[in-house]
Amino acid sequence: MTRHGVNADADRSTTAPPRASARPAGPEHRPATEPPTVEAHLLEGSRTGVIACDERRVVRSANAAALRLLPGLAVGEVLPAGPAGLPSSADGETVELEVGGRSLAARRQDLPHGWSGWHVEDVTEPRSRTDNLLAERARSRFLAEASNRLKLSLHPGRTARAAAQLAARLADAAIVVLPVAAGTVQWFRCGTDEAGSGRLPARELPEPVAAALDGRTVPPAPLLPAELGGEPWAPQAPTAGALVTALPGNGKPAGALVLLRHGDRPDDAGPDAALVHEFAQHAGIALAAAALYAQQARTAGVLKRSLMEPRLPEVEGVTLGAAYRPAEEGLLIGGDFYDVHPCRPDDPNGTMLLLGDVCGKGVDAAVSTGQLRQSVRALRRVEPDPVRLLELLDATMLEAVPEDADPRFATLVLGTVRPLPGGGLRLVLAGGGHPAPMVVRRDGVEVVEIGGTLVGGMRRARFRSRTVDLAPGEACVLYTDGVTEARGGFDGAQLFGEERLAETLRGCHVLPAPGIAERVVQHADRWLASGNHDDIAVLVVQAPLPVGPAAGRRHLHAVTAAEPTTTGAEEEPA
Amino acid sequence: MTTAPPRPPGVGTGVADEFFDALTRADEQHALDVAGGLVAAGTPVADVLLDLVGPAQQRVGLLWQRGEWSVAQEHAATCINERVVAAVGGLARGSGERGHIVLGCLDGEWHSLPARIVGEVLRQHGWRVTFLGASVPTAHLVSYLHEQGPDVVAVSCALPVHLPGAHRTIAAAQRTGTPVLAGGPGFGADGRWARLLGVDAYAATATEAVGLLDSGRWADVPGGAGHAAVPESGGAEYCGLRARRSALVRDAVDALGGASPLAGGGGTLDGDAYDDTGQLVDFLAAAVYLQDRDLFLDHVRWLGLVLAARGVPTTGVRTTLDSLDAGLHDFPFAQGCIADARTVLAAEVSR
Repeated sequence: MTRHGVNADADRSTTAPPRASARPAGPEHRPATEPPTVEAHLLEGSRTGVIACDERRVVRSANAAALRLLPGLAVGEVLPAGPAGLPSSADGETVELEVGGRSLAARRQDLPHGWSGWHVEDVTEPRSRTDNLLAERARSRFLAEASNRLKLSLHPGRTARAAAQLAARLADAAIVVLPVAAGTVQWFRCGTDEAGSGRLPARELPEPVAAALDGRTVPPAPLLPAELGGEPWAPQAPTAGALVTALPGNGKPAGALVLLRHGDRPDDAGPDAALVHEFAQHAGIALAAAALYAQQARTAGVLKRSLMEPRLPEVEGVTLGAAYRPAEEGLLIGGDFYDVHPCRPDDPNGTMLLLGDVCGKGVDAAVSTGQLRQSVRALRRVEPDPVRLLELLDATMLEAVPEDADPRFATLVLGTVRPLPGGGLRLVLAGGGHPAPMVVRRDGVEVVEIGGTLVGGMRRARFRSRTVDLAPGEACVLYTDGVTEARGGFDGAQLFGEERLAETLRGCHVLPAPGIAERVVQHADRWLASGNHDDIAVLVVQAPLPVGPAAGRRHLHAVTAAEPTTTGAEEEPA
Repeated sequence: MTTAPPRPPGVGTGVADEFFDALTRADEQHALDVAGGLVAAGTPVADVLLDLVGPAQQRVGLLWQRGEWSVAQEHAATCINERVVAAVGGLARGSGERGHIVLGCLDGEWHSLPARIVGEVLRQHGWRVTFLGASVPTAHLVSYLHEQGPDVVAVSCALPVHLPGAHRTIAAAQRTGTPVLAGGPGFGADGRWARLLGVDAYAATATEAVGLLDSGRWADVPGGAGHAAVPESGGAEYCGLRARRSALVRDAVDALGGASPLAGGGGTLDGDAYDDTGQLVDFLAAAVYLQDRDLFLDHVRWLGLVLAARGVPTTGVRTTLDSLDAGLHDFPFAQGCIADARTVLAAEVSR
């Protein structure tokens, strides 16, 4: 800030305006020869410009500050108007104007005899302080919001879309380009009233964008309009210019951000570089996290697919239903398992069923179930008898245990299903320490105690089998202890138990097998007070009712319709 | 002269009756034949689902409510309807080009048929739909959203008793940045509870959902979590009620000598005493959560109808209310609900 000495200013301005005589003197015009009064000295020293004009807008008096602030002003001349002058306004009204790069506030005052006065203040510094403060606040708000929105999703596409939406506020339109994968890039564009996404061959990328994605340029680089043709760069409005910034990731960029300016504002200074830089850091971290998560999820998905419960096959003459709820619900896999291996038409051994529970939960248990299921699949080729197959499985599992590890034992029911000549099914069920299956008969529910010891847990294990015949419509329900040991009731500690399960199943012979399986899971789930539960698996085998003539069909029978489409990520059994 | 192309048959009363007759007899093949026949004759799949299967399912529910059908009969008919939806949906596939929708029932919600129908209708309108099934655990839904990044997640709720849980699921889904579309009568007749829970959009019917999604108004929602009018914790009274749930249920069952509040007469509605009492407490808790007495009163009114249809007196329910009243003397909102519920039951009895 410059301080002006009173005397210096006084000498330079007020006294004896050489051209004042060109106009008739007003009543209060002081002859130039009189010495300045104290008031005149004070006026000269003021930092506020003070001007007096007569009724014809001729400047009759102006202090030093006024002459400094308004360079076009001269005493004795008409008050300048227009952009660099003072507009006509009412008494007491303040107008703001930009003169010579400074912000001025001028207040008009009515004087006697039709004269008018102006008080002109320099507000450049307070104004810019406020503007900076507001801009800083807007910047912080924007970055806070950006950070909140960018951390919501772990999906790369959604995160990139959010980044484009946010960045669009920094320019006329924004495009986020994800790193090259298999020769193509995915882009997400967002403008004032448009949004879109798509893919592009990597070789069609403008060189500065490709360089940013490669990590060859780190600082924001300008893009020429000539480099930006067609989708997604300039689909509608002509592009005046653009800026490309790498979005820093883990080691290499997690993407590139292109900010576009439209042609109708060519003199716009463009986005605030510091803000763009800061935003790019936020967006890069979010995109890198999402890419990492997607990669892990993909890996887990591939591994999971082989461990997930199979889609039930269609078996001629048998109605099947199953339900599954793993304990770790975000995971979709667990230690319970089931499998159905349909027999070939010429195979006298029948269809094989398997349902069981490997000790433990989560991924570790799921890996064991995968091994066990695979063993059964292979062993059934050489041994069709359920009890002998269990013995082979037991020996296989014990052999597979490393010296320094505990055996990973399982409880399971393994059985064969064959159609009976007069309709209905014959089941031979072999068990190893598993909860007793239940048979839903027309007149009640029967518990099939099989007995047997754990599989893969000890030497000299003993297994037994039971034969169960199902009349048409009747069903056999295999389940894991996640059902009967579900804890709930008034204090959350009561077991669901066999009795409640039998009660749930009573009269269910009218339901098709999938309906029975869902009913069991539904009731066990409702019973659970806390929501924490063990893995739950249910497999239902039902003897279909015979298909009669169209007019007399009054029953349920084998389902030939497509299975309801679910998540789709299921393994098709071989 | 031009001849108009033959009009595809609509879903007339004759066809609807034939279909319902097949459900009554649990004749799945015939039901499939009727629905498949309509599609083969040119009726749009969406029309078959909305005008044939949907209304039939409503009739099933009504017959159970009136005590004319057993639970097993209702279940069998529902199972067949689910098969019909899957089979009919498989007859015509949409393009899947409009975008990806993940659809599921809220945790604890097992009425999946309406959601399944909505899913198939959306599929017919060109959306790629992933149906996650009945009672989807929140953790499962959230990991699925992170992995798949769908454009929108649609949640279905049939009974308002699930709304406190629904709120946690909705907020969790919104925290993945995915807009949430809610549907189903569980959100209140006009969807008012859906709005209280801060969903991004609500559609009362499948047709409304199609229109809403086509309008694209859901597209620019910046993660609506935190827009809810009720706190996710449900407030002090709700928390207190949850903490006291076990004691409330035990005392109420004791007051009835171990019987279900829905037992008595020659009725068939009594299930497990703890289950039935627990559900009444949960409805009360949901009303407290949303600070809306009507939620509880609607349920009590409905219980009154169902019990009356089976000739079961409401004494059990009233005894349970008395027991809850005593156990909740320092819970002003719950007390108001219970007082109103007594009036509602008295009015039902006097009718």
